[in-house]
Amino acid sequence: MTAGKRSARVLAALLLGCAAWLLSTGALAQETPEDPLEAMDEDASLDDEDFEDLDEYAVPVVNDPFEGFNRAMFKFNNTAVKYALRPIANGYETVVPPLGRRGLSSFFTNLRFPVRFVGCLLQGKVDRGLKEVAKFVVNTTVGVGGFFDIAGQDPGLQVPSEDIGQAFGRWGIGHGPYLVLPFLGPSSARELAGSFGDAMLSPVNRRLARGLEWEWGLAYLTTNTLRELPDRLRTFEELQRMSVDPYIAMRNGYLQYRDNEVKR
Amino acid sequence: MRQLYRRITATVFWVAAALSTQAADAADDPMTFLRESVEEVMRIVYDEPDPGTRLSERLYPVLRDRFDLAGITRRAVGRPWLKFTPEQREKAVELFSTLVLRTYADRFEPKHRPKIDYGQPVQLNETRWELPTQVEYEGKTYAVAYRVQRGRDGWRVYDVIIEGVSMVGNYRAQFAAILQKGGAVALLDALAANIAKGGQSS
Repeated sequence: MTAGKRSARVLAALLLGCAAWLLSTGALAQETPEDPLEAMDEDASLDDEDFEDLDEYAVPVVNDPFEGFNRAMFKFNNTAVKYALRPIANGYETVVPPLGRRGLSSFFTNLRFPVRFVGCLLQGKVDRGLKEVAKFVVNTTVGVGGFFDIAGQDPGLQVPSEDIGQAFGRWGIGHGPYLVLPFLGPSSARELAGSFGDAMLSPVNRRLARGLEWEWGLAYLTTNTLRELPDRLRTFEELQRMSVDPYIAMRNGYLQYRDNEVKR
Repeated sequence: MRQLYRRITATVFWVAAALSTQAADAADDPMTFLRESVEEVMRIVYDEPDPGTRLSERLYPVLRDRFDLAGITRRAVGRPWLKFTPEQREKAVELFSTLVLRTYADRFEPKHRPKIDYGQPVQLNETRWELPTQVEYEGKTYAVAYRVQRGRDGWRVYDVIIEGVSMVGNYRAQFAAILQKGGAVALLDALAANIAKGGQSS
């Protein structure tokens, strides 16, 4: 890839980030309590303690202007999980033994090092970034190319995983509109822009951009998707089981999860 | 003789007082309460011989004892709770408790025993604490925090926060949409429908 193309990509990522910011109408999961005086006098038998816990959790204001489209996508994903992804995940878990799955998971996690490292630097978390470097060096060498998470045994090296979407969040950029993507599931304008940034930092994507060995790129994408699938499906299915409105449960769960990652 | 009797009474009294203070200390400490609760659950899931009944059913008594189910329901409903009739409140607690207990109990698989590390407790207000834990399960680590409150009957759990996702907060968002559309009746119907399908994904 030429320097010009690369800077065009960086520019595109920044533009997407700005677009996410412009689209966002403030922070998404702001705690805005409902009218506090509403129905206050309807039941005088409640004591103060009871009143207090009724307000402990507020309903967050959510920016979901494409709810119709998102719900359709959610339904589509639900069908895809049932008839395609679940059987594929089961097949993967049958064919690849637990030790192999763990090895693959460590390998791909190690390869995401540039994403975590740049994510740290963009947020000024130099100490975490250095720990990421140490982990990457140890796992790539002693851990035989990343298949063994040797650094994982050192509690001092354990830091929360960073990425570009989290950096955008840390800079004060709100989520923007909530989005449900086909096959990929929940996202938002900010997170989508962030994942473009993540993808550009991936060594395999850079290789693909040079037009070399696309078969390797495809193998990488397929294996990475497969190894992530069982865990992602388990979360998805559990949410379906435990919720009374799976769409809202997923939306709220995703936004709480990402907001927590930004804070860490 | 009378002196000896008095001495014995005094000793018994002091021992009893010391013991009760110790018990009160343990009861006052939210982390002790959580550790005991978690250990009890672990014992049932991993140490007791399997009597052939469903695991979730064996866990219900201890979970019912340790979770503030009415408090969880009230918080998940929020202000609209004030508009519920006493019967609707009772029904909501009953249905939602079934859902919450089933969800929590179903998380445990007797195959793999998780390793649990307890973090530094955070005081939220006079009676409430957030107790962070790290659960290591099949090579992965998850952040699980418990929110507990001291009420009339001692400490009770009123929220479980997994990887930053509050269970009560999540239900609050779901319930709000249903309550806005159809009030208490719609919420009770939705809860009953979920329980009727036995928690199978649609």
